[in-house]
Amino acid sequence: MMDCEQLIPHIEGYCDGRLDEADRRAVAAHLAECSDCARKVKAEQRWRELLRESPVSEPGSGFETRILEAVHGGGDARRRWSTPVAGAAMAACLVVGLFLGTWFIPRGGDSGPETVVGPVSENNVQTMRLAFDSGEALENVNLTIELPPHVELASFPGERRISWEVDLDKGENLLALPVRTLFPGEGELVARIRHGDRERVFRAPVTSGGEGG
Amino acid sequence: MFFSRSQARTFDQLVKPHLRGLYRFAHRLTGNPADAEDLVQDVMLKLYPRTRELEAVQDLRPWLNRVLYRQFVDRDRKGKRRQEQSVTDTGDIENHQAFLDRYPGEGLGPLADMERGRAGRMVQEALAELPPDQRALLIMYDVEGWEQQAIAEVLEVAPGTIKSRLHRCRQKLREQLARRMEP
Repeated sequence: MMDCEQLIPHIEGYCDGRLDEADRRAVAAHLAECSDCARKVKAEQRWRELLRESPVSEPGSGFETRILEAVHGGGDARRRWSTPVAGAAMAACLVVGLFLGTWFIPRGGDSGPETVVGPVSENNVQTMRLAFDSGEALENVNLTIELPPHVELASFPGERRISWEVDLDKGENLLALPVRTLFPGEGELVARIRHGDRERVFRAPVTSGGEGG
Repeated sequence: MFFSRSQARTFDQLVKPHLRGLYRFAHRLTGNPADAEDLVQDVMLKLYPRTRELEAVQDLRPWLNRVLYRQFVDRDRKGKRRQEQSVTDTGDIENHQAFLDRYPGEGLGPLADMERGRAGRMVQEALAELPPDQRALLIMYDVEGWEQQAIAEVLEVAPGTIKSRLHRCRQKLREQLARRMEP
């Protein structure tokens, strides 16, 4: 018959229900005779049961909408984004008209960057919007964003250069960048758009003021 | 974050059915609703530029869980700046028998008949004390009841090592519990 020492290595398997029949019977026989070991097994089963019963809430109403809007740059799901912070004076919102060869059509006939409309600014995270008008739908367009040292993308902390392969719809395409200010400064955001062997580079100023400024 | 309206639609269609499941997993990992929602949002922000990659994934659920788990571990590591024994560290798996022999059964005994509310809080506190990867493994196996294969995919480890890793995590939890029951 199994003794107490021999039983110990089997407690976990017994509670998992994965002992072979011979071991299971031996453990059960010992537990029927030994109240100390029966108590150990009961404690093991109890913490597992309590762990399984640990409560987990459902997300609040509108959860999916909040998340997806935040992803698309149209909303700020997180509380830390919704607290106004004085000081950050970074250009909050850009609309950049771009053209690339014959495919990209500048917005409003102006091919240069144009600073407009703000703010989508909250806390030290602000949303910069870039709008690209394309004369036709394009696949496999490479977009590279280069950031000045005083800012970073909220979702890519520490990365100064981020590239995507994207498809463009005919007409307007929007890029919303949640940009976090790391320290006051001035610099330039550079957007490189490449399709095949053609490339266009666009630059937009990114300025952030000091605290309370 | 990016980009064309058609890509935005594709992204939404792909991830929306999984958001609540991700939230529940995140809630178990982080222990509170606010951090859980933050974690899910971080993951979505990260994945949006990778919509095309998502489209190519055959079974998105474990793939998304893996990304969320990695994000959770990274955040925790950055937040606490601590060095911990990792469940992905194969460590002393060979010494499994000696490990089992350290089963702190005596210390756990009082849990068997402790008042339910108190015992439940104690278990939650002990779980919260574990390193994030060990906590995650217990949640996936003992709470959510995932298959070892699915857990191995999330942890990016060999399925055959899950059992040994699980032993170690459970042992850690028992030690935490036993410590709490010391007079």
